[in-house]
Amino acid sequence: MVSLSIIVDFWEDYFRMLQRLDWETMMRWGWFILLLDIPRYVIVEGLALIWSRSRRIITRKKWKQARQMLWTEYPLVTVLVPGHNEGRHLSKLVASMKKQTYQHIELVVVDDGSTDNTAIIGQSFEKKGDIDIFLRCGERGGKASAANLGLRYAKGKFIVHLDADSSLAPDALEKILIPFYRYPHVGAVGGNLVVHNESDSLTTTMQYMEYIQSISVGRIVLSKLGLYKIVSGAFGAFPRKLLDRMGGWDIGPGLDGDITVKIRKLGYKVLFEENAVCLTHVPTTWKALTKQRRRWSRSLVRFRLRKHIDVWVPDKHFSWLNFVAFFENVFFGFVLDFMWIFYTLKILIVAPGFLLVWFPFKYTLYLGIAIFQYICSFFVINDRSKMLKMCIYIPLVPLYMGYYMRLVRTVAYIGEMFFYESYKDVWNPAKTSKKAKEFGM
Amino acid sequence: MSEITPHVVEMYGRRILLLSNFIEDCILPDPLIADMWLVNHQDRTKVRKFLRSVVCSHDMRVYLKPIYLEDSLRSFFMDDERVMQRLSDGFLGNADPLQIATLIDQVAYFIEKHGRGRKKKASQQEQILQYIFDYNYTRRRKIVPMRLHQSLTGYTYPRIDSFFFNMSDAYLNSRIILKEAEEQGYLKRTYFDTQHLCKSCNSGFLNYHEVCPRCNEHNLKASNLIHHFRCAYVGPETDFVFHNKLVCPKCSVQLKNVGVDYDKPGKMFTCKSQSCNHQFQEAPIQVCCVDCGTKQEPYELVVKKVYQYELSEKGIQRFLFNEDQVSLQHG
Repeated sequence: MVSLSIIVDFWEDYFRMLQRLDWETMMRWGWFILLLDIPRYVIVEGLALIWSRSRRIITRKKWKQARQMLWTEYPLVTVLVPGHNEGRHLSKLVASMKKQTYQHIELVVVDDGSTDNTAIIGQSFEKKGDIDIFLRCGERGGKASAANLGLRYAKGKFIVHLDADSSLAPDALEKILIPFYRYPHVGAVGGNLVVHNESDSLTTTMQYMEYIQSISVGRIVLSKLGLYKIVSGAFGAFPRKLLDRMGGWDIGPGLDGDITVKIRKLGYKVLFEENAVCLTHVPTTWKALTKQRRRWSRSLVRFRLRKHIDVWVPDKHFSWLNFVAFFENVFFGFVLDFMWIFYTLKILIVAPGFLLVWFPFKYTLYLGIAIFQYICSFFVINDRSKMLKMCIYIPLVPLYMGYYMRLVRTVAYIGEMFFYESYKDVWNPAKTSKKAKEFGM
Repeated sequence: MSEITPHVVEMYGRRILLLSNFIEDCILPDPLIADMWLVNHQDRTKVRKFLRSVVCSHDMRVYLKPIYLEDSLRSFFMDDERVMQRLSDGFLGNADPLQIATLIDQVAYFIEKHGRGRKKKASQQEQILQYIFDYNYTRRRKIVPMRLHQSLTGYTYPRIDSFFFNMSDAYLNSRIILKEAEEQGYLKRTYFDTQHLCKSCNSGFLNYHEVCPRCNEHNLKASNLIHHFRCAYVGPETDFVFHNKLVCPKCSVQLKNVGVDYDKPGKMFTCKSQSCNHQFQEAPIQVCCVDCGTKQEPYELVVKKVYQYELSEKGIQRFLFNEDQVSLQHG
């Protein structure tokens, strides 16, 4: 009874505080939530999702035709898997390839200077014929070079880039190829990533929630609006000729985002295919996750603000879609983060007492957005029973996305802007990072 | 036989028979007319044939006879020089007169002591061992294998192999003779070498091919892979070659310093067979026998050890003295 009264008291206090908030105060301190976040994540996302899903149903005949065309042509597809010390995942990968509904595939695995027994495992699979081409670099050269080596010897009409530790749904290859036949001039198709190890730890559970919102739903929306700009390296398909023309991947980290930008610059469509599902393993500890996200966030500065700075310049190659895609990415990922910190600090200095009202209020708003997005993703995700079980974690989403992710991202942006941290990341060998820095790659 | 007039010269009180006429007709001279024989014929085939017939002779006085080669023949013997030396007592110039005199005396004493009343051995194998013991005992020599590309496996025991007429017989029989003698304790062996031989014909003359894992053809082209650091392009060296320079096909920059601009992380094979054109990194090795043409995997090759042998005390008793005891008992 005591605890119940505390809860009741809390709610009474909370509502009293909310009543104190008028529109003016809300706009003064949180205009970016009301004017940017809510329109962006609720209105635009909701409408685009409805648009995308309904178009699918209306044009289902065309999708069927596209599938028919794929099966009539039945082109060879190269599944390209570059990796460093990934030997232990190869048997699962091979098994997942054998289960594919689309079987005209060539599996190319590139071992980028592994120091474990990857070479032996890979070679034995090559001997058995489970891996069509197993390539090995004696010296580690970085993920881009490994992918490029595989590309050099690939023969398929399409290249499906895959991480060694991800496993595909049985119809994933077929599904990721159909958009190439559904629309003309498609330069890349990104697959849908679903977290596979969501029950490993709270870290992975939160990532599961994040992925269904920002990847499954978020990318449908971006793709429909023509703003989709990162075909994830974990699962993406490209026409081989286009990759050959570009000379493949450039040095990462974030090489998947970089190549997507290059494809967009050439004027090709980049699409997301939510039905092509890839189950992916995500970092299980906060430390590992932080490391991964810092790497991803640095690439925003490195590629969007440095290497591809020309997208912002209105010259003869200027494209509004690319500009908006970049703007959306940089604004919601970069500018808003700094603005968020700026306003929080400002409140802290000007009216610290106000935070007691402001934080619960903001939390309520973002929780509302999270619940809305969660409901949206219900229409996209196939495994609904799993999703239902996860709904108890929704209250943590605003904290995870709003505080943890913001903090990690902001630290990474600052590190990259002022200290060029991505060039020091051991993810790439020093010899390539040195050259990348020298030439601004 | 008597048609040939033996040409005997005297030196330091020893009679030396010059063999040229006998070699020409391949006739064994009477062992009694000289203490020592000298080979002075230039035709290496004939000399070899003659020396082999000496080795195979049943007459102890013939096969133990000190035989030297004239130094001037060295150039005529060519590749056979080492075999000739093994089948004889070597070049005259390499031996000093005292050595020769000692050998002559030793042989004469040996024949005196063991020559009489010796019975023929029951089997050819025993008989050959008997000759070997006699010879190696008088010469204080070991039975050392010799590298020789005219032999089946690449190794030969020239004196033993002389008893057989084709290479394959020679290889198999000499192995058996030596192995059994060693097992019975008559010979002591020490390790000399290991050989990998054809599984079907025991030949040691093998050709090792890197083959295409898909079509088994061995017409391959190997190319180094080059990784250009700056743009992450990786491809075979042929992609980069442009007017005797290395130029990156992706970013058109010239590659200058290995280790700084680029490195070579591996190599790549291309099968040149028109119907295959397979590209791969790990080329399996296939072995093709030059003699019989059998193709085989390296693990299928027959692994044999080659030993050098020496006479054991037991063997010397058995082959050189035991017989005396037997004859004494009979006497």
